[in-house]
Amino acid sequence: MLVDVSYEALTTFCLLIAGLALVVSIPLHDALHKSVVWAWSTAYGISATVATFSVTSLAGINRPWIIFLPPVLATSVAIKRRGATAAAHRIVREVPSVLVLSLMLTLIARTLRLGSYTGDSFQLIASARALAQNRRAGPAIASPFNFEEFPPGYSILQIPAAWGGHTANHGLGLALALALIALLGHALRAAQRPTPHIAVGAILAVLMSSHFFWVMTTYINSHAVVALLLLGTYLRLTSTQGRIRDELPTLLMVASLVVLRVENLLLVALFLMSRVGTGASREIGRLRTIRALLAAAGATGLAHQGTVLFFYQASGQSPSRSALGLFLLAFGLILVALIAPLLAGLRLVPIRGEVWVLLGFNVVYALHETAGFIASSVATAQNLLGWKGGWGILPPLVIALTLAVLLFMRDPEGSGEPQALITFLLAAFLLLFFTGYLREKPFRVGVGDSMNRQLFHLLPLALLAIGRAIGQGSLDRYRKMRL
Amino acid sequence: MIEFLNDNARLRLLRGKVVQPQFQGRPRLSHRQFTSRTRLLLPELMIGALLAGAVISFMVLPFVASESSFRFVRRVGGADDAAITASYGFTRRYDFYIELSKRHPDAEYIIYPAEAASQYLLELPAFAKAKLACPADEGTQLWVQAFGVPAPISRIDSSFAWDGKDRNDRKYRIRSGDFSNRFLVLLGDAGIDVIGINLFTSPPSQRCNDVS
Repeated sequence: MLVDVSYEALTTFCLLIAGLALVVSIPLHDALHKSVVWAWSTAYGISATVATFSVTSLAGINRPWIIFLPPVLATSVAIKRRGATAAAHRIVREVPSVLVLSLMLTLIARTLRLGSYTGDSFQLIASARALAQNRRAGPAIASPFNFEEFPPGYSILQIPAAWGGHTANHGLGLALALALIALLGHALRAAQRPTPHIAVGAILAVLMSSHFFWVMTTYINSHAVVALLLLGTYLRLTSTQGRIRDELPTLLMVASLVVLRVENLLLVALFLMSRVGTGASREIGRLRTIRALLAAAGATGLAHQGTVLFFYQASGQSPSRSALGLFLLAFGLILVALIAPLLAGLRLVPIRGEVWVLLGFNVVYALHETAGFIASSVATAQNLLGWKGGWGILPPLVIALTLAVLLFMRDPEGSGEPQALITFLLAAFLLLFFTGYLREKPFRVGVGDSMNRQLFHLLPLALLAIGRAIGQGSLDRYRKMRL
Repeated sequence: MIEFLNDNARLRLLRGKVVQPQFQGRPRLSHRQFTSRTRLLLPELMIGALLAGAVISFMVLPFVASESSFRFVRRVGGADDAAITASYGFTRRYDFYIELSKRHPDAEYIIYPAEAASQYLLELPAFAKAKLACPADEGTQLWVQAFGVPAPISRIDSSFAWDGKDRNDRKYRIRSGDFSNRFLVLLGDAGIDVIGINLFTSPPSQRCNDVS
């Protein structure tokens, strides 16, 4: 038992240290509270681990010592950026805290038996085992179709658990839950107009009182990871000064997103393209960052979808339409990265136009496959509003509040936030719904429904938009004006 | 910046002064006035909704958790399984086992180790060796068909290759290169609703050793 715990904790420790080193490499993170540093460390550490293990898996290196590789590489980045003394001082100072945190996460997860599974979980775990043993016969990578349906991102994260003889690293789920809470709370308070404390408390209480939140964060699947990385990417894009050399962790987060779920290339493309059209991208530095992220997403997508197509060719099967479509989309993202200044300058990307485009796609869905569209609509409505999705009262509350922000709050200065964020969320919802048409199978009633689970990716951003809108309009700021 | 009303109106309201002369003493507000007042207090209304939502959410949490088909404590493998079985109780799993036995009286289903199987995991370590008479070479397919399973049936073993699935009729095609290893059948919320499970080689038209 002790050996098991120590190994599982060690993998979490290495992941967090890798993330901490990347945090240290960016001067902007210097003054953050320790809980927020851990939250960013989780997000960055996951990205660094996915990136490193992807390369080692491709190279056929499958030794347990590789768990030390992400922290070593990330520390070398920190040393190069900040100098050996400063980086070492900061990292070494935090080592005892990270060690205790890793042990606590593992022990709590094991004691409370946190971890929920479905068939998909075991597909991912089996892939992790196959990758850990350098085999190409795991369920998810046995056929092109399954490699396409289950990208290897989450399985890569569970490789160390396979080396250690564990089913999965359950402490990671708890780390994700804490990171989401800390990062969301910090983002609400760190805004130019901070959300009042009572509102932050209420938002976090709503989040933590949702059974679905705990199920999704401890679920052996990629949903909580995607939610954290999407939130992290948004926060980096809206808070940094646009210095490209500070964006290595953001690049890693975007690249990791692409290999975590098959739909994520579409989601990331929508997210980044919507940023090209907003006011934020008109600043030269920030547009440069968005171009780099577009290129990173495109390159990762090309690599992954290229592998899928290669598997199809090697097995003598004709490639699926979705694999070809995603390959072309990845290529298109690189193209957009090249011409983004032209698009932003000429405003060829219409602000909020994506909602209408995706609405049009869903109209096509409704007309071309009416029965499936109705079935998907009814199932999604029942999951979100009819308590069938396991969310509790969270969906009606979030929908009502985001609509209130969108309909009743004015944006006279045209800063674009949080309305732009809510517009993205609306577009993302339409995009995810349209995937019901692409996969040629309607969504179903139940917690495990794909659409239902994927909406969790958008939840932190929706709560962030609501909180920031409250902060911008709250009476608190008037009271502080010493009337 | 977002404005809910113009700032001067808000400042006057907070000073306790009259916001709009026509608001005073009038029992009925025009639609526009009502909208303006609502907008003015919208952030506070949203905070109130969130607080109320949090309270209600905590109150309904046990109900939502009991209704959800997702549950915690699904550790598979290792020494933890015995405790998991205990926490879920033997009864439901045992009913499931009995149903299987009734349907397949001559099948040598062995739950191994008996106390280590949860309701979600049925281990059949000797099944393939004992029952599959036809050659089990690389590429041989095994179909798993379950009846009355409320949640999708799934299976796992790293030595088996997965090759597609159809959730509608709950058939799962599995390619295998090694039937000598243990074979795991995972059931979603199986419980007593499971009325039977068929295991047979594929394609169905050329079954060489159906166990059903």
